[in-house]
Amino acid sequence: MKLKTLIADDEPLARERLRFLLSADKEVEIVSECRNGREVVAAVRDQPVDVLFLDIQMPSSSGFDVIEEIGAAQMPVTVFVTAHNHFALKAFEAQALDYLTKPIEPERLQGTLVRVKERIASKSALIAHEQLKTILEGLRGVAQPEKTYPRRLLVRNGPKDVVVPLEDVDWIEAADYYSCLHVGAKNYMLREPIKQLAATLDPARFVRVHRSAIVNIGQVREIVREGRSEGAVVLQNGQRLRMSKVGWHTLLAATRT
Amino acid sequence: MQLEPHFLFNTLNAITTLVELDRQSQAAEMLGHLNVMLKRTLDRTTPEKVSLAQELEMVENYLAIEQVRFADRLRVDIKVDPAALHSLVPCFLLQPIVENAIRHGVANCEGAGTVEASAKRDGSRLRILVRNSGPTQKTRGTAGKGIGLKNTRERLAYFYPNEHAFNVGPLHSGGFEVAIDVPFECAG
Repeated sequence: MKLKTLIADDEPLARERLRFLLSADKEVEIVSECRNGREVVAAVRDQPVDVLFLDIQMPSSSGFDVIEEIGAAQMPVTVFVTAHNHFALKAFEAQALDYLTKPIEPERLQGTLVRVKERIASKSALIAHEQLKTILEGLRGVAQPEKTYPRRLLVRNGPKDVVVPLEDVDWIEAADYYSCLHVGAKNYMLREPIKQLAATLDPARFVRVHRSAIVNIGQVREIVREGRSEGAVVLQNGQRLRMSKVGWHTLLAATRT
Repeated sequence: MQLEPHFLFNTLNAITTLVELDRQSQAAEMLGHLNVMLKRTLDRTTPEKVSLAQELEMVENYLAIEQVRFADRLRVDIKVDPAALHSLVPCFLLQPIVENAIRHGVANCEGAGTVEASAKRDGSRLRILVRNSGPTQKTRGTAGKGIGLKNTRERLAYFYPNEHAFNVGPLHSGGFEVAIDVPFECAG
């Protein structure tokens, strides 16, 4: 399968270099090159595009303006390219798949292309799955909208922002206005109350077992009963967490799926 | 006064690209321009005056490098009265102004942008103008507050207390103009 690719950068030499680097991958087919945000919007609306390499700083409208104008849902898989890394946080908030800093290193770009292909493959798998589901639901006469969940969290850590893949999170502990992410031996403080965070996570993978704790179902080793309404879960790493009655029911329901 | 680290970084990136793309002669040309700029920078001690001709050499090398990066998007127009070439000016007077003109003007233009520089002798005065075409005033931030222009203002005040004029302002046509008026001093 060819990856229909769009390059957007205002500097001719930068476009040329990216085109050259991408030419090493036979699956990449560059369908268009754009010099500013306006051209990107037109090109994306004009033809099917799988991947977009988007320079953040371009004249008249920035990469972020482009996403706003096209709408996040209509965007191709997007990789941000920029000379400065202070846009990283905003890039991930804008659902960018990846973020490359100039000068782009060929090895780094290869890694990006692997992720791009994975994303596109899972997207088309999702579409096939989705279509099947729609047909089945059509037969049954019900339709449920598919919800998407974040795959990683961005945590401020001094001058840096750390990307924490959600699959690596063992459990999450409430800490007032913060949530403490327990990731192996590390902890990260995310500035989001646990209640708010719980609402955004995939319920099939993360369960709020208690007012003060969310667990990654994949990390649960045992469920311990301690009377009628109280219980505990034990994680793979031996960590024991209190569980409320509601938490217990939610966990049981989720582990059955 | 020093070269902007970003400028050096962008230039080296551009040279890498040219080498990768097998455009050796352009890469060598760019290295040549960079070489002149670095050499001049090392030669000069800051509170010093140089001839306008020398200062223009710096600017021309700088613009030649930027022209490779921006290609057809950057148009350069330099007009200098030969009588003005021998005049002394503070070293590194023009380069930051031209750098500003590109960063705030051409780099923000969707189409092509122009940088114009001119210098002429007017009796006992030397008048220098640098202009860019660019987005209109509304679309840009506060101008004239950049380190570059603040430095220029201070250095002019240091070299020519009470006998210089330095005016910065937007043009009706969009873009910006920097006007410098200093005493004409012959480099001898």
